[in-house]
Amino acid sequence: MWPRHDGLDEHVLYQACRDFDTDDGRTLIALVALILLLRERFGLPQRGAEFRQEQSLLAEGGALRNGMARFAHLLNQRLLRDPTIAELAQWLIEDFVIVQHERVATAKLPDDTYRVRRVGGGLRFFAQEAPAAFNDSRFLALSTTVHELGWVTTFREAERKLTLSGRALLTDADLPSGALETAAAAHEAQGSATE
Amino acid sequence: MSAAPRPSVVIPELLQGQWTTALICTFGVNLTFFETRLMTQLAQVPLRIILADDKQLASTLGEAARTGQRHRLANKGYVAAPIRHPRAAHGKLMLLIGPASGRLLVGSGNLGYDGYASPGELWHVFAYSDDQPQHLSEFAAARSFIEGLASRQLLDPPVIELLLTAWGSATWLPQAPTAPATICSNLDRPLIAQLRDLAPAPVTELIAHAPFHDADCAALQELITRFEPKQVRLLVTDATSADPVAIKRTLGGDAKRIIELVQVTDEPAAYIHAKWVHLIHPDTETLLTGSANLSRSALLRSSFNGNIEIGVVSTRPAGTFDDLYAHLQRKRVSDVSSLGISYQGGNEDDTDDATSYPVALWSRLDGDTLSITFSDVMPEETAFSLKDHADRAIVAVSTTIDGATAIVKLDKESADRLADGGRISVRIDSDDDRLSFTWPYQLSHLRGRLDKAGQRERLPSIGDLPAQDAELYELLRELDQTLIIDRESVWRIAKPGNVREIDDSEQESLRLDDLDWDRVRRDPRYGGYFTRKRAAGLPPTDIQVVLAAIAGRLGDLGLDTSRPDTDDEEDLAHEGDAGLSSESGDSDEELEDELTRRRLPISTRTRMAFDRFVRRYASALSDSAFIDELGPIPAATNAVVFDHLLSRLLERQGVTPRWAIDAQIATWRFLWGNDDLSTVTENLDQGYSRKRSSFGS
Repeated sequence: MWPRHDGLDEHVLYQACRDFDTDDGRTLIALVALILLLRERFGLPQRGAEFRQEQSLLAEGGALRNGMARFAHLLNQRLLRDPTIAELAQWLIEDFVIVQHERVATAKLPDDTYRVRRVGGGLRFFAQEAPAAFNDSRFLALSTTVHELGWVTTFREAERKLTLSGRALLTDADLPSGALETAAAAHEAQGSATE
Repeated sequence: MSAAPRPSVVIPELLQGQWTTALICTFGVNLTFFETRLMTQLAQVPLRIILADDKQLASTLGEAARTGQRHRLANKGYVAAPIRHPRAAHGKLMLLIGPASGRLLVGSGNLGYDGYASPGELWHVFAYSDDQPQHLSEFAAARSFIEGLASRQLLDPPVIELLLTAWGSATWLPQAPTAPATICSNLDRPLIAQLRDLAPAPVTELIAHAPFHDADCAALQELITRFEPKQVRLLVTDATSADPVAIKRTLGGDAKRIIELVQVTDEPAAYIHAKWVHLIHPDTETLLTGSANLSRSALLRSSFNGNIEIGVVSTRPAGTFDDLYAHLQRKRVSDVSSLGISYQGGNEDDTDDATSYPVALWSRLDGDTLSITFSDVMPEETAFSLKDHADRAIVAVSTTIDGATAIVKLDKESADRLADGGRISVRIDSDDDRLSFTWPYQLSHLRGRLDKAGQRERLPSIGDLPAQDAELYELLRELDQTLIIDRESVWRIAKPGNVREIDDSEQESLRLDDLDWDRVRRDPRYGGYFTRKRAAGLPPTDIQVVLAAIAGRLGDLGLDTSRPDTDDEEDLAHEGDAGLSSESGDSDEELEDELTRRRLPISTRTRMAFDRFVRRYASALSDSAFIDELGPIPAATNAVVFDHLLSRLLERQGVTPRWAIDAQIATWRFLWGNDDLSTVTENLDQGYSRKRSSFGS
């Protein structure tokens, strides 16, 4: 668990960008600062020992899916060239935003999910949603699953809490008897009510 | 099919067909688009070749290496090869060819989503088949263009080898047009000179559009000078790369020279990348479309000192090209400076400086041997550090440097890893600043796809015949698809869309006059009999495979027809498969016969099928008109094959002796002549002679 700092940590920067949600220089600098802070926290080579347990997770994706460890390696290499913030931002946007977005959007064709595409030496933007927010495609699915299993209150609430069966799973590595049946019954009741 | 260019072509919708080769020429290249959108539709096409501008391709591949895109099948399942031209290799076409048909697209789009599926491009679409041969010259011109790149040594040697294979699979496609073609390139002459030759005078109006102009609008000026149009209409968009001051200077203050802002009506934000020069005459119109922008390098120069461009020039009656503007909205512009456009350097026609250190130009992987050709001669003491797509070291057992080429012997594990596909990063003297990337050509795999597509897997087993009846039946099916033994075989080739089994009684009704022997002689199956002038490096024909298998019984004779292993990544269709396996039976009776045959044991069905095959062959031997048309080499080759086949079938009772022996005697009679036959039969041993007399008709 990393201790929070009310005014000077990554989450503060993230919240500021999300709440402000305007594409301007201030947001860009805040996001670059966020990346550099993440590098300081666990991207520096000397930090490797502190996160030995997480190494396999950080290395996930390798060279082909730009996992965290590879990204940190490339970022460290890039910073050795002593780039300006503009050069660093350009590199990040070209290689890790535009190229990766085009790659994913092209694979999703004929569904058109392009937000931006390189066309004729320029960039063409498309009116599609692109908020400054974490976009972990698995988070919503997993959080919904653990809520529907009855282990935690809904993630929509800021003050979500572990339920009795969720706490039992955490402490005993097992569920109390009848926990899943209770969770299923709740959804069956909900289903019949909506039919 | 293509009198006028089409502005709303969606190329992925035009790929369907029985093709053996898909060849794409492009300037820019989006391999992710190709792999995700086109490869699935081209899965059954054995040979898929992309030829792209070398600097653009290097940029794409460099970006892929930098950003974690493996492109595993590049140069393994398909070819992504550079056109090494000092200026832009800018021509754009797609050539789809099969044994008897083709489709050709020539236009303005680069390989990518915008180039192949947006309304901002223009494409001419041509089709060829025996029934629609009118565009054969266009196809020949396209081939001539590609071969022009090869003859100028702008293509890597492995690609030139593969192109030979591609042309070999389409014998209908001439090397050069025998009649005037609408397709023209600037390989030898500037496009503007060819346009001048083809366009009649006078020119009442010149309408031109291109996304890129010269900084000084020199090409536009030259068009006006050469064609002296009474009116000029310059079309621009808000993304046109041109200097407004240069445009004004070129057009002057003449009221008959106007500027119009254009956009796609249904999609105003679409980037109009199409290029055209439209000359209107009193009764006709001449249109140049294709890859050429309004620039010196594209329009005013040949490839000697300019780009490489390809286009279509056609003169048609007035109004033919009206559709060109139907999807566009045009608005008169009084002051071009108000559009906010500017000349942008670094456009399609500009070239980048070369790197300051030797880079890996291309490489090929043959088993455990990796050869890398560099852009410069390498000192013998140069050390290389090689890594695979996942940045794992490649272990070299030995390295030899010969001029600009390094031959690296790999350890087995490294060779296996590279054979799986993807890039190799090459560092010279372990220097991170002297890094380049290469996707090695894996010719055995690329050829393997082609072999697999046309492969008759059982043919090599004709030497000793397969042990199992099911395999023997498969062999028969493949022989029937390979050999041209009678009029029925010819009918199948000449009328591939009307395949059916033909009864013996119908043979005579297949009149030789009705059979298109020119069509047959262009077919690869017929060409397979003639191997003397076959180019080196091509895979063996099916006939060669059969003869080698027969010769193999005599020892270590014949050519090596071993076929490389191929991955099962994609299934490949057999081109033009027909014959015994074809779905026939229009009538209920035929269906019933087929059901009866299917209920019989496989051994009986196989023998019945061979009986019929043998009878067809023997009957055709006495058909002197057919034999004359077939020619001595195919006829003698068939005799050799049948002599062997009949002997082996008789040994294992795979054919009814009554038919087999008659066919064998007919074969000998054909080979040695009637007069000598008595001598041959007199010398047969007593038992064989008795057999012959007892089974004789």
